[in-house]
Amino acid sequence: MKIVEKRENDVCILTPVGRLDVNTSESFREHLLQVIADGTKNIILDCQSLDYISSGGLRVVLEGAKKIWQIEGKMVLCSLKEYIREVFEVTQFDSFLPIAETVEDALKEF
Amino acid sequence: MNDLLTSSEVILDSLSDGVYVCDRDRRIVYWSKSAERITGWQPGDVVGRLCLEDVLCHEDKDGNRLCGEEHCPLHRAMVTGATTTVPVIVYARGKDGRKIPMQVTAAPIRNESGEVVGGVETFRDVSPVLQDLERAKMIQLQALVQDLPSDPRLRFSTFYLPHDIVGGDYYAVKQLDEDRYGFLVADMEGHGLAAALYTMQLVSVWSQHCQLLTSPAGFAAEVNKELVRIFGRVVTFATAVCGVIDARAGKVSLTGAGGPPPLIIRANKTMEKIKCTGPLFGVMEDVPYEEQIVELEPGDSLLLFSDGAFEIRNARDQLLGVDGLAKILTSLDYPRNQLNMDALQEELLKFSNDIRLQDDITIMEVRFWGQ
Repeated sequence: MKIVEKRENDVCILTPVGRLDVNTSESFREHLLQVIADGTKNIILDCQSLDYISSGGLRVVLEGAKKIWQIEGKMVLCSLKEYIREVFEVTQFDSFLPIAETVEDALKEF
Repeated sequence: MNDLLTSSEVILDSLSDGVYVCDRDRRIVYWSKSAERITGWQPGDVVGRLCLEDVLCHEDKDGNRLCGEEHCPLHRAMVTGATTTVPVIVYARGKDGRKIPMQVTAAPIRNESGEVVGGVETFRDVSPVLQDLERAKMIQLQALVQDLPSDPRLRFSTFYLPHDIVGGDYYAVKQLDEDRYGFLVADMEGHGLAAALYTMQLVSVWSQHCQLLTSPAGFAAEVNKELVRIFGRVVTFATAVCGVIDARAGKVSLTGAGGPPPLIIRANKTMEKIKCTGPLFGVMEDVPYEEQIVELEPGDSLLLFSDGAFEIRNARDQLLGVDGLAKILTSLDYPRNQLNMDALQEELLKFSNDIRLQDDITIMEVRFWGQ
């Protein structure tokens, strides 16, 4: 899966492109965990180009979040498309992770 | 050493896995000794014949034939030029007519200029593993199939179709007192063996806490706490919807934990999607759960399901969705007719344009008749 990575000071902005499903979850997981292993403590998961997320995809996001919390870092989600917004609403993902409207708003969380 | 490597056929014949090679037209050109040992077919029986003829008769676990174009692992490897990444379990027919479960991998064979000129399939008899899984399936079904309550005022029906031999969905119904029934439909993240093992944990969590369903939000909070403990350091979760129905008044109280929104299909065929959102089970302790109250009229039906029942894509990559599922149900003249699970499954397959559905499917129907 294509993942665009940008840095804004000490915040890493990851933008996965396409679908986070059974075929792509593993490569996204490897990327996310590598970023954390490299010492990143602040991550924004920019979902503007994410079209679909399966429950396996949700698990990977949670796994990343739990790793980040262990090192007292923070993960923020932002720019959800309609379908992703619905999934995060049904699962009340905002009880686990902050969700912002835009990347700019997400940056203010740090 | 050089002597050993003079003939690749000698090496292939010495493998414990069966090996056969097809040309681009899927005509079998080589059949190894181990392939003969596993299937009983001798090279003379099969070499020169098309592998899609009535030789191996590959089928999936549900008996769907795989020897057509798109579902044949070997054909797919030759068309895509890619080796199978995850071994596929297929059932093949031995010479004596016996069905043999096999783990199959397939790879394209290229000539010097890189052109695909054939394919090679290796297979292994996995009967012992499958027998174990079949036993696991029996254990799981035993835990799932409970006596559904019999009450002239309402009827519970359930439908369960695991994607693999064992599945990650769980459902349960319990009479709480004279008038009230508690129910749960839950879906462990992932499917297969790991998810199935967790459903067995759900069985004990359910029996420990089901009496709390007089307040579904209270029940959900306890189940969540318990699952956080059970999952421990493993990152996983369950999605669920639970609730309680009062058979006297048709009043239903529902709590969601990331499960799909339940559907009410009224006797007059109008539909309502019940929004009952809530945090996934087993991720974090002390998250709040809420209750939604809905009223059923006589003849109305409440449906709870796992996401496998509507997260189905068609050939044009469109998602069926809950609304699509509801449309199919009403096209089957539901709720006037009884819920016909075979017909529903057929419609879902038709939509998906596939030979089998890609996830576990559970549907629980609560049909309310009233006094």
